[in-house]
Amino acid sequence: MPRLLKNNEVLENDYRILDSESADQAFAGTLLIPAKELSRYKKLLEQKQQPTGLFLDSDDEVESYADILSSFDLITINFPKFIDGRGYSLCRTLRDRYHYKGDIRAVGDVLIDQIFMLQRCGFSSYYLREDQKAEDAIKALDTFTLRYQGSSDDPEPLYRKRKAS
Amino acid sequence: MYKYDEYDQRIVDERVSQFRDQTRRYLAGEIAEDEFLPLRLQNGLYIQRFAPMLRIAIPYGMLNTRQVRRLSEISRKYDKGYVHFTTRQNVQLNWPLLEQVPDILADLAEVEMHAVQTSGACIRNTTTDQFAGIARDEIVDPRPWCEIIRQWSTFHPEFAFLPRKFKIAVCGSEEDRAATMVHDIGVHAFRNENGNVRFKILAGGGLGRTPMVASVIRESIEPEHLLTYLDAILRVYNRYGRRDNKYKARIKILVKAMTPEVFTEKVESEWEQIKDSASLLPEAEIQRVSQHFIDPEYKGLVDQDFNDLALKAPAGFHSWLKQNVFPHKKSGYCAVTLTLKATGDAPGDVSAEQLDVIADLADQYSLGELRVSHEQNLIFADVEQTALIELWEKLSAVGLATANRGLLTDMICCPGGDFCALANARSIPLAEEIQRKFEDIDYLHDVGELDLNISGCMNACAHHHVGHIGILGVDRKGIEYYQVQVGGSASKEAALGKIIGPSFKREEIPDVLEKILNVYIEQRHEDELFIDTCQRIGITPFKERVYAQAA
Ligand code: HEM
Ligand code: SF4
Repeated sequence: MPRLLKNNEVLENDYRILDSESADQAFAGTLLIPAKELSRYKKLLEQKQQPTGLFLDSDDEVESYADILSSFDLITINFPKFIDGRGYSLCRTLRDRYHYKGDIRAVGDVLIDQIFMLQRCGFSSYYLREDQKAEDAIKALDTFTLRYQGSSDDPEPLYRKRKAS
Repeated sequence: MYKYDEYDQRIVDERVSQFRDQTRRYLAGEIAEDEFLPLRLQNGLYIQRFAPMLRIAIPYGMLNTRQVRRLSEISRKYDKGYVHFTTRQNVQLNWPLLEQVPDILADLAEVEMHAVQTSGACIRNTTTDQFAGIARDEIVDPRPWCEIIRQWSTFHPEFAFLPRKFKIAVCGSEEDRAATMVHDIGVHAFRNENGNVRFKILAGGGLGRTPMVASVIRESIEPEHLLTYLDAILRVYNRYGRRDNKYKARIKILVKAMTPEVFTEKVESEWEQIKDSASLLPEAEIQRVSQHFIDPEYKGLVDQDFNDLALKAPAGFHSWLKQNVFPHKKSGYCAVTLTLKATGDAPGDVSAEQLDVIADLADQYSLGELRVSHEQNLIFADVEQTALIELWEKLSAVGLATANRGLLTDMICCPGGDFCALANARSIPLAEEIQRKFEDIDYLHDVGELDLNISGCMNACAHHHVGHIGILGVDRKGIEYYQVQVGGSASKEAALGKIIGPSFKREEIPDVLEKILNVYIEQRHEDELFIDTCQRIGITPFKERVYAQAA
C-alpha cells in the first residue's frame, strides 16, 4: 500500500535514508543525509548526482544547517513518536525563519489525527505510518475550515480576517 | 461576557464532528488505546477509577445562566445529577459513558461551551480572577486578554504535543486571586506611567512533585506583542523541554535548569524573529473583544450601610454578609460567593437541582451571569446590595449560603481516592471530618481568613503547597497517611509551605489542625492573619505543639 501523501495524492515512496553501508547511488529517488552525519557526506552533497535531502530528527538543531538548506531538495522531519511535538516547531522554524521553500515531509510515527496540525506548521508531504489509511489522511487535511491563529500555512490570524461585527 | 460569532461557533462545531469521528474509529478498533489517549485528553476525557471523567472548560470562569441550565440538564441526562467544579475553573462530570461524550459535546456546543484542551499536553484553559471586571482593586480587566489567549491557544497547531500540560493564568488587580505565581506562565496586567496597558510576564511556576514559584522573564510587554511573546515562550519550551521523564517535563524544570536569565535570552531571541509577523495583535481586535466585557447598565445606586442591613436581617445573615460579600467597583452593588463547601458535600460538588436554582437566582439577582473561582466556588458578580437579605434567604433554602468563604472550612480539595486513580489517600472524607469538627461559625470567623488545601497525592491538584495549611495524602505501606505543611501562600508574594514533621492518620488530622490553630490564636498580634503569624514565627512553634506528646 503506498503511503506517501503529497499534494492530496497517494504516491509510492521516493526517498531513502543514507546509512554507512549503502551510499546507494543506484536508488533513483531522493537520498537523505541524516543531519547528525552531515560532515561525513559533505562531498556527496557538493557533487550532487541525484536529488538529495536532509533528515532531521526531533532533537536536531535546524539553526546549524541554516546556510545550506537551499541545497536540499527535500527535508524530512522525523517523529520518533507521534506525541513528540518538537517537529512542529522545527518545521515552522524552517518555513518562517529560514524561508525554506522545498518539500518538508513528516516521517516516522505519522498518524492521520495529527495531519491537520502538521499541515498548518508547514509540512507539505507525509510518509504515513504503515497502518494508516491514506484516504482518511486526505480527509483529515480539512478537519477545520477556520483557524484562530496564524501559522506557516497561512500567517494571517482569524482576527485579521473577521468581518467587522 | 464573550458571545460567539459565526466563526467561533463553527470552530466548536467542527471540533464536535472531529471528536465524534475519532470516538467512532476508536470504538471500531481503528485507533489504538495509546493513540486515542492524547486525542481524548485534549477533549477533556479521562478514564478514571470507576468511569470516564469529562472535564468541561469554563473559559476564565465565566458562565451564563443558559449554560448553567445546560450543565444541569447534561448531568441529569448523561450522568448522576451532579457536577464538580475544580481549581482550574473547569467543571467535571464523573460518570459519563464514553459512547455518549460526542453527544454531550454537541449539547455543550449549542450553548457556546466545549471541552477543548481541558487536559493533555497542550495549552489548557486560561484562568483568572473570579472578580475580574468588578473588583475595586482592579487595574486592568483581564477578561478580554483571557479571551484573546483562549482563541490563540485553541488548536494552536504547533503546541498540541508539548512535553507536558501548560497552564496560563492572568491577573489585573493589586491582589492576585488567580495563583499566577504557580502557573507555567503568569501574566500580570498593569498600567505604565502613561496609563497604557502593559503585561509583566512570569514563567516556570508550578506545583506537583517539584513545586516552584515563577520567575519574572519580562518586566513589560506591549499588548500588540502579547501573543507573539507567548508563541516565543512556548516554542522554546516545546523544543527544549525535557521529554525523557514526565516528572521533569514541565517548563519550571527547564527554566530552573537553564536559569531564568538564559531562558529569557532564548525567548527574546526567538521573539525578535516573530515579533513583527502577521500575528501582531491589532488594536481593532483588542477593541472587538473588549466590547464583550464592557460594564452592563448599572443603576445609579448608593452604598448601603451594612451594619444597618445586618440589624434588619435574621440571625445568620451577618456572618454571611461579612464573609461572603465582596466589594464592587460600582456603588450600591456587591459580589456574592456561594461556597460549595457545606458540611457533608464534597467540596466543589453541586447537584442538578441546585444548579437550576442557581440559574434562576443569577437571572433574578445578578444579570444572568456567574463566575467560578479557583477555590471551587461560584460567584454572583453584580448583586444590588438592597437585595442581599432576600438572596441570602433563597440561597439558605438550598444549602448554598454557608458563611465560610475564605475560612478554614472553605477548603480547596481534590477528588482524591474516591474518584482519582492516582490518589494515595482520600481527600473528601477528610474534608468532611474537618468541616464537622470546625462547624462553629463564630470560631471560624475568629480564626479568620485561612486557606486550607487538601491534595490526595503529590500531583497537587488542590495546590496544597500554597495553602496556608496544606495537607497531602501519602501512602505508607499501602496505608493512607496525611502530611501537614504550613506557611504556603498563593498571593503575589507566593510561598511554598513547609512540612511540619511525620504524617498522620486521617482521624488525627482534625486535632492536629486544632493545635495549629491554637498556636496561632495564642501568638497572633491584633488583626494578624494566620499566614502572617506563620511567616513571623516560622514552623517550629507549630511543630512543637503538634508533636508534643510524642516527645
Ligand atoms: C480526577 C482526575 C485527575 C487526574 C488524573 C489529575 C492528574 C493530575 C496530575 C498527574 C497532575 C500533576 C502534574 C504535574 O506533573 O505537575 C495534576 C496537577 C494538577 N491538577 Fe489534576 N488531576 C485530576 C483532577 C483534578 C481536579 C479535579 C483538579 C481541580 C480540583 C485538578 C487540578 C490540578 C492542578 C491545579 C494541578 C497542579 C498544577 C501544577 O502543578 O501547576 N486536577 N493533576
Ligand atoms: S492531587 Fe492526586 S489524588 Fe488529587 S486529584 Fe490530583 S492526581 Fe488525583
